[in-house]
Amino acid sequence: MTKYEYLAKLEQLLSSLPEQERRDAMNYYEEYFVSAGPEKEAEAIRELGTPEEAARKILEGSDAVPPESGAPAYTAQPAAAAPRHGRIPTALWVVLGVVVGLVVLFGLLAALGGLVFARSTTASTEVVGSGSSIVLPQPTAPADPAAQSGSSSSTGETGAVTGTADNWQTSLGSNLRKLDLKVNNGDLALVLDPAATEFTLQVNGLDQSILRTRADDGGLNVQLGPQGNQQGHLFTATLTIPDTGVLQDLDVSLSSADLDLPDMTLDELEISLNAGDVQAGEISARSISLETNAGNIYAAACQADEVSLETNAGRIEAARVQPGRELEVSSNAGEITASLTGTASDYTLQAEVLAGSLTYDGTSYSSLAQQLRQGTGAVEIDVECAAGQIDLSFPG
Amino acid sequence: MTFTSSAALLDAVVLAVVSREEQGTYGYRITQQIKEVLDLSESALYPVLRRLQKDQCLTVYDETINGRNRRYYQTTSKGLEQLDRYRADWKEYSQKIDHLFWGEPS
Repeated sequence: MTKYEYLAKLEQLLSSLPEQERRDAMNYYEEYFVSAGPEKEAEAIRELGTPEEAARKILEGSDAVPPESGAPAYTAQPAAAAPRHGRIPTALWVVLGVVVGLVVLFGLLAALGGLVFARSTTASTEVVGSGSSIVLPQPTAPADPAAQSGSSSSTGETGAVTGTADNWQTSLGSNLRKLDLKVNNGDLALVLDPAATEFTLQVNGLDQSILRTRADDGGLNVQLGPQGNQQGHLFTATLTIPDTGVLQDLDVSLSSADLDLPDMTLDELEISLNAGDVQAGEISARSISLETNAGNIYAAACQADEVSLETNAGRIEAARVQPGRELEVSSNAGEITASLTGTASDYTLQAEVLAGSLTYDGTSYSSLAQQLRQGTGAVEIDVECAAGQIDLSFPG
Repeated sequence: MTFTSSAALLDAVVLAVVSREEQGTYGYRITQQIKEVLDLSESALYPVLRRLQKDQCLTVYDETINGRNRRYYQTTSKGLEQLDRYRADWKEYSQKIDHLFWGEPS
């Protein structure tokens, strides 16, 4: 095949493309041959793939229907979407086939008590309830949060929302013991206000369709963020909470979102971060769990009976950790740095360190053939480190 | 995201190569650079470049060279963020494989 035959065939196969797209594509290929030079024409044709191959992949990425098949084309997905199929060069396929096989095998071998691997990193938020609804709280029945916020898939009127389309606020209720927040593509700051009687959400940047709530078993399920595959941090929000100790359990899941928590006293705090930044103040609770996939979590202090710090590839830093009974630290490939209260003699350490490293009280351990046990203190520390870096120190 | 599809890896590699050229780079050159590392026979990069451009990870500008129109590609800030994500994924991924190849049995 000559260069002209190649280009002619390609143009013909791309005839279903809009003219500008076809022109762009043809220009790329013509220019490719020119850059290669006449002596590299055959090599260029090899590098470009057959006109049929090239046309198929180009059409897959556009909205046009490929001429020879009846299958509908799909529109271009953002790069972060699910795996695509395409013509795969043999060498690449072999490498990746081996890699995939090994990862699956590795997943099976990972019987190390809870190391989490192929964690989904898509910014997915489960749709809760009945779509864009805002629950209207009824202040006349404060004792029962379920009745207060309506039934489990309620559609409220939006009368409780005040402000403009892009800058609005609403009350989520007044007696919420439990808050389950899912935030995506925006930033949320929590504020404790002793003078407040209601949980008030204020949002700047997107309209109220990003808020969906559902009453749930003594608390409120809140989803905050645009649906669909969005990119970037598109709004800022502030949630004002009555500083009366009414809120006991806080569960926040974040994706492409930042979270700011003040000093708080709770029963249970759980933060699950996909990508973004979490800054937390001094948290005092019965149970604290900080988990990140690729984002960063910084906590000024974690004081709880049970503290759990878990990362896949992100970073966790806790300036002061005071576990009453148990501390779990688990890293796949990320970094965890924590300063613990007391001294090493207050703790019993149990650690598994595979390819990463653990620095405990100044001594570094890596690639341990067997489990490390150290200390006889009352508080248990359980460390699992696959390939990350964990640093636990006792500043005293 | 994991590198369980070669398409994702190719996206990442193309993004990495383009990001190295602050002034932008063009199709043939990108292909030659990647060719040094990966066997690229029969995997045209144009659809990848086009998709990255549509996803706003790359911008383009055209220059007339010898009467022909040559299109240059550059990474955007969004593209660089995506590249960072790919880098993190790859680090994690390759560390797991490293462990399988060289780690201690437990």
